[in-house]
Amino acid sequence: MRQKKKNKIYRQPLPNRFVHWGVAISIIMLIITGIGQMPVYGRYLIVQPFGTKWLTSYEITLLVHYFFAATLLFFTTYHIVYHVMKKEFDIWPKKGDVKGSYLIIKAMILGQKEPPSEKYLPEQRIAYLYFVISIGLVIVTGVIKVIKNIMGVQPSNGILFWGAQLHNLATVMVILGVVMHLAAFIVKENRKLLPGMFTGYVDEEYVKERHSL
Amino acid sequence: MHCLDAPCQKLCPFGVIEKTKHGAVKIDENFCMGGAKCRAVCSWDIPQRQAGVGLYMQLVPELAGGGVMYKCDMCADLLKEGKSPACEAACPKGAIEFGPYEQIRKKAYERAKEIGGFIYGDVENSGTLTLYVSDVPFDKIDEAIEAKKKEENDTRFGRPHMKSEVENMLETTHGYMLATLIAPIAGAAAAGITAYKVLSGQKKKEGGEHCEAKEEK
Repeated sequence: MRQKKKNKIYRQPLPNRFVHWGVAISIIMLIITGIGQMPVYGRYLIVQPFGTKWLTSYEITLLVHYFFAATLLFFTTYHIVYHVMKKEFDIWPKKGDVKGSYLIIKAMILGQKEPPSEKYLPEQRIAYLYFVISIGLVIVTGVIKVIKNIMGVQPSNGILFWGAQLHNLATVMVILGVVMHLAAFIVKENRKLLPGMFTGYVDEEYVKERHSL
Repeated sequence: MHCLDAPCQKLCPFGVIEKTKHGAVKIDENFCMGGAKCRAVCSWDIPQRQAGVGLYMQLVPELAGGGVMYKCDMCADLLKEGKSPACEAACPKGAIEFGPYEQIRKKAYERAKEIGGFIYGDVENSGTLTLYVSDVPFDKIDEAIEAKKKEENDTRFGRPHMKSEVENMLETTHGYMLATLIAPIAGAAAAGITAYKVLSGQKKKEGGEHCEAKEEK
């Protein structure tokens, strides 16, 4: 149950944090094990770091990959159904977000005062769309890959080739997205958002200053 | 070997192993990255690295002459020309026969019955298109292969066993695949319950506030 805290604003309810961290852990593990299914760890690592031997086994990385694919599907479906039922679409991009992002980034670089924002900054909404596209593509191609692995299912050579190529492309897109997501915290102004994803609360002062709309 | 449900084909991370119209499992040497994942998932370690072929020969031949993965493709080029595969044509004993799967399978069983023999490859790894017929039990053949390898201290790839218990990796991971496909249903159900609880809690709260406001009036 949410408790009122002095000088704090409740920004990220428990379901948001549950989905955020569930998706984050799933994606990190999917990237690690997915790379394990590529010619990488067992091929180029001359010295195997302690505790990573399992990553060179195709069978183990495949099973762990399936496990986290299931958790990613669980959390993404949860996210969609929960917010559609609650009719919450604050993070969905709006008209003028590209220009809005430009103005905010320009203000950050030049040290000027940022234009006021809603709950989410325009660039956060654009970043969300980027993740929808890249995670969406990785999920669709991933599900095709799971179905084709079922015994008795014989997909065409084209499905196998394009399914793999697009899954790999989407993986690269997701990795770039994660890097950009983390790089956002290099900017000092964004760091005040961080406690929101741990405790749910952010400073009231920060909200008044930046999210006044 | 050319498996009916070939793990190497289905699990190649680049999707560059195809099945030809004859059912041969064929690695596209121009796209293969040589990661050997096909060998890792093959029950017999059939795909092997072939020096002097593939992508790297075009890019860095000096450094990457080790080549990419390679396996029997039923002599796809010869079949295209309407010729027999090289092994069938070259076998001095005429012991290799190539033909439509059902026809060959029927013939293999008839031959096995005739000689009181055994068949290998029909059920192993959930079935293959390569069938061996022998009057010596395959367990004994496998023992002989192992003994010879031990004697020669041969630990290299490329000398497959003939064990009778051969599991297909796609079969052993079947449960995980189903779990993956069921996960969205569980996610939707959990979200539905949570959203319903939150929404009904909000309604109750709003109702309570409404009553309090009325009483104040």
